Amino acid sequence: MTTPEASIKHRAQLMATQPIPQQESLEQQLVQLVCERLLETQPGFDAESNLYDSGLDSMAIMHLLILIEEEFGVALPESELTRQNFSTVRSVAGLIRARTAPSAKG
Amino acid sequence: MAVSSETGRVAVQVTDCFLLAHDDFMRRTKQGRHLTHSIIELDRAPDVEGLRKALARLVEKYPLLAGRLRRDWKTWLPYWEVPPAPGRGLPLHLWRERGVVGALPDAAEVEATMDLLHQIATEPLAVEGIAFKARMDVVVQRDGKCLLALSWSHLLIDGKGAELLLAEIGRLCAGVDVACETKEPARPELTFKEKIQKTKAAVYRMGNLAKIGAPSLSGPRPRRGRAFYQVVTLNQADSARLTARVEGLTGALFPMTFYVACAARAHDRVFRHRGREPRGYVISVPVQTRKRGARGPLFHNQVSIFFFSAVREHLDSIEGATAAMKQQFAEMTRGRLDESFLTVLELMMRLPSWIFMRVVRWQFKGEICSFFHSHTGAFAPELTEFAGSHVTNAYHLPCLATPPGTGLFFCERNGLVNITLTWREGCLTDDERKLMLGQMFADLFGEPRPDLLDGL
Repeated sequence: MTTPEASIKHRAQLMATQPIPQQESLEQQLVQLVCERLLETQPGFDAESNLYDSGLDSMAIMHLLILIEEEFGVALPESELTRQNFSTVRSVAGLIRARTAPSAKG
Repeated sequence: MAVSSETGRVAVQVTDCFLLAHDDFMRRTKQGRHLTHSIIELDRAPDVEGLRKALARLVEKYPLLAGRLRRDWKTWLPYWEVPPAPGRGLPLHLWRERGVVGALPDAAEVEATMDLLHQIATEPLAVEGIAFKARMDVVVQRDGKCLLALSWSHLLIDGKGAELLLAEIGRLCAGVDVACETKEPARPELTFKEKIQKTKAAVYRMGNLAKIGAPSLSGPRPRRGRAFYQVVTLNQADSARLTARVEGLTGALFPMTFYVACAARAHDRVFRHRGREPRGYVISVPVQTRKRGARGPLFHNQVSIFFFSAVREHLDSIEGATAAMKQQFAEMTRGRLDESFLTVLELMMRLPSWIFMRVVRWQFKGEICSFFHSHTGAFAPELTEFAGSHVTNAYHLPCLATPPGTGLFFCERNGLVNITLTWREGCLTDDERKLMLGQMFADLFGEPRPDLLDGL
């Protein structure tokens, strides 16, 4: 039987073969993800808005990590899970781009 | 909150049914009712007249606070019967500790605040035939400070809801009377087959946890006894030091996993003191279903549960225990265990409470879990003023049933960490309580802290 974990990993692997959008488009996609599936954001929420002020907590961060895996095929390493890195959509998008840059792929 | 104007009916939420069964279990086993006190400490006595008016308006605005739980005879689903707004406000009681003069002249005298809270936990909330689900008590203390307790029934309110309710009362005291967000989190419409499919993750998880067992310090047999509370508020320096340590151990983003690990090792210390080394423990941790960032609904139990396990091989060090909790947190979130568990509860909603509770306890041979725990983060950060007084601290004091009979809870307020230990009479001796706290402080700070145990 396929476990939910295996299914997500499989999907993440498939997604990883898709090109990651450019920074601006990636930010827009992330803003949309956050607004629709993660947080009840205020009008005017954008890539520079503070995520913690918008209600980001442990549970939401874990959901966000999973959404990033599912949607962009990127698994962020533990060393990058800092408060600073998750302060805005822009900083999260920067992490995703850094993980998919040619030098990061190894 | 969907209220039918014709029938005055309000649907219960899925998790309410567990709390209904739990409350019924406590009543049948003569342990009182499932109440929690949400405490805010004030720098001085509040404006009592303003508070009275706010509490009258509160009940007028939310008559559900005086609602009665009924069960539909056709569907067997519980629901709230909402009466017309009663002609009086939420009960407000004024107290002053013995020896206090001047403040609140109408107040009754009480020896100590904790005695009063113990007493409230055993008293019915209903007044004059009105089935209130909360009450408020104001106590002026000998040190000149003032403690305000909102005591509420878990049938209608949860911890986050209580914080939102206090903020709403605070707004009403300040003359701000606006409509509150009452949109309930949406549940997906699923067929019966889809629901069964969705329960599999939770059923599988519970099956695995049952192999570990959920030993509690009270043992599986329910017993009467008073509820006790102990609150430790860490000072600024210790709170900052603890926050830095938590960030070092959990990567800054998942502090809850560290606190679960601390609570597990603190309980394990007492078990080992009793000469027992259980295979592990099962810890129930509530997770909010209110959408983050929203003010969210005031009422109902808007939570699901994550069941963590702490097995012997992970309990050797706080680092190992935290890593194990973190891994489980990731797995449970990834596997949508919160949704799966809610679906299990949804399928059990029609069960009479006594059967519901029997199903819950069957899995763990009479136990519910090893102990209760929560880390609720910042307590109502928006609530800085209340009825003309400044809020200096805030925390919850949950009253627990046996089993499990003990709980360790953490929250923050103004950068200070509050730790609440609650237990039922007979579940923890004084020596065991000190052992538990000693182990917890050692894990929180990475070294023994006998100074914090002084006077506890």
